[in-house]
Amino acid sequence: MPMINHHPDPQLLSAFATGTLAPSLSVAVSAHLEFCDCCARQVHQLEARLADTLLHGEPTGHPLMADDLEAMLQQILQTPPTASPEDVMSSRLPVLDWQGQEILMPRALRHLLPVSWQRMGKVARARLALNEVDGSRASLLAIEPGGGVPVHQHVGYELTLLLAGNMLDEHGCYQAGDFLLLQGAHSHAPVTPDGCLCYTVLDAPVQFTRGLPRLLNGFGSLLY
Amino acid sequence: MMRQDQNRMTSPTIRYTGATYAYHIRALMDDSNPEMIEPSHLAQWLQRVAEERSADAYSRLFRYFAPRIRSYGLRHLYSEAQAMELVQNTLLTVWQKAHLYQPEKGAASTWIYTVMRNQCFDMLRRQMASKEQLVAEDLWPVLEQQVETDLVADTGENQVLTRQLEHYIHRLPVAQQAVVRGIYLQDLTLQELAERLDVPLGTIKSRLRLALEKLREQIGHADD
Repeated sequence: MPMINHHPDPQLLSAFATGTLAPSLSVAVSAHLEFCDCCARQVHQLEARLADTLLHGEPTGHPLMADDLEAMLQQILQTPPTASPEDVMSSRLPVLDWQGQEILMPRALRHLLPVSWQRMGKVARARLALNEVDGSRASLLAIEPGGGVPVHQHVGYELTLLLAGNMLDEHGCYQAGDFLLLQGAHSHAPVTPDGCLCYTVLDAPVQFTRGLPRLLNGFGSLLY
Repeated sequence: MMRQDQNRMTSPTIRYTGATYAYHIRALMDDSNPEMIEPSHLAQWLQRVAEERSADAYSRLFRYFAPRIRSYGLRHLYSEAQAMELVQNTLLTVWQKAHLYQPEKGAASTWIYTVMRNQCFDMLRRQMASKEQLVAEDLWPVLEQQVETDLVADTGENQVLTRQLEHYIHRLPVAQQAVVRGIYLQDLTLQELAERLDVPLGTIKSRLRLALEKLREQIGHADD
């Protein structure tokens, strides 16, 4: 397994373990954990600590009526156990055809696929149906070899999780499993020598900062 | 300040707030068991639910966890009714899916915490009435027959094979599952496993032998 060099920071892992991280970002963390045992172990430890805090403390709120509890308990005891465990077929993850290869998709995406692609030059985008209250948008991006996204600036944050292939920008090189979160007014121009497939979340339209692509700023939402 | 001091004088127990003492009091208040409740008790009860459908063991778990899950629900959801729904959803799942708990992976309360967090996430998403298909189980696989990533090579073929094997492992008695998973997926030695599960080495060996016999038999049938 290739080395993963870019990980979610501890605050993100912690928010993921408590269930308070935005779902579009949780999808990315969950997918990263499928590539990265180290972060998966950290999340497990966080869950163990949360369990200690939340489930071994003193219960708060008005004491439960013993009768209510007892009724619920008896009702559950009458419920038969589910006979058949989930079918093996249903646990199979979807694959996506990409550059003639079958790429196994992360579990977190399996109910969001299949997708329909929109193409612009060497970049194809598929919007994912994750309706976020904060207005952020999640997509899959497939960029052909040698393709890149023109220099652009983010107003909010941009999250990229590489699913296949590789990508370079002025900050480094990224490969499958790498988790990259850029915040604030930050401009970069990723290129992808061998092409790449990634999951992205943007929380505001990108602004192109150089040359003709600026014409796209009006409808920069193609990438957003 | 004055008031606190007076309180302390009238209730001397306030000085004994060591963890052990707190546990003891809690056990008394829960009214489920006059003795101390140790984490290993919880795991044993959960295993008895999985293996024997023990109503007694389940009732003990229920009385311990129900008030605590309700406290969590009151903080994360919007009403008493929803908090009670969370208790019901979580503990019904524990009753029906106790066989999916893997003791070698962590404490019983950690597993119950993850079930609760996932139920809570799904309840909150349902309230937003979004059409999307994202479910907690996709983000944090808790109830599915889990595919271990520790030692599994990252090829698609291997993952599919592992999932199919999981299907068979899943049908073994819980105690045997723990041994097979510990040895083949977590790469523990027999001795390490004996220590972790707190049973004699001989027991581990015989569980492994029984499990392998049963697996060979089942996989043989599947090939016919």
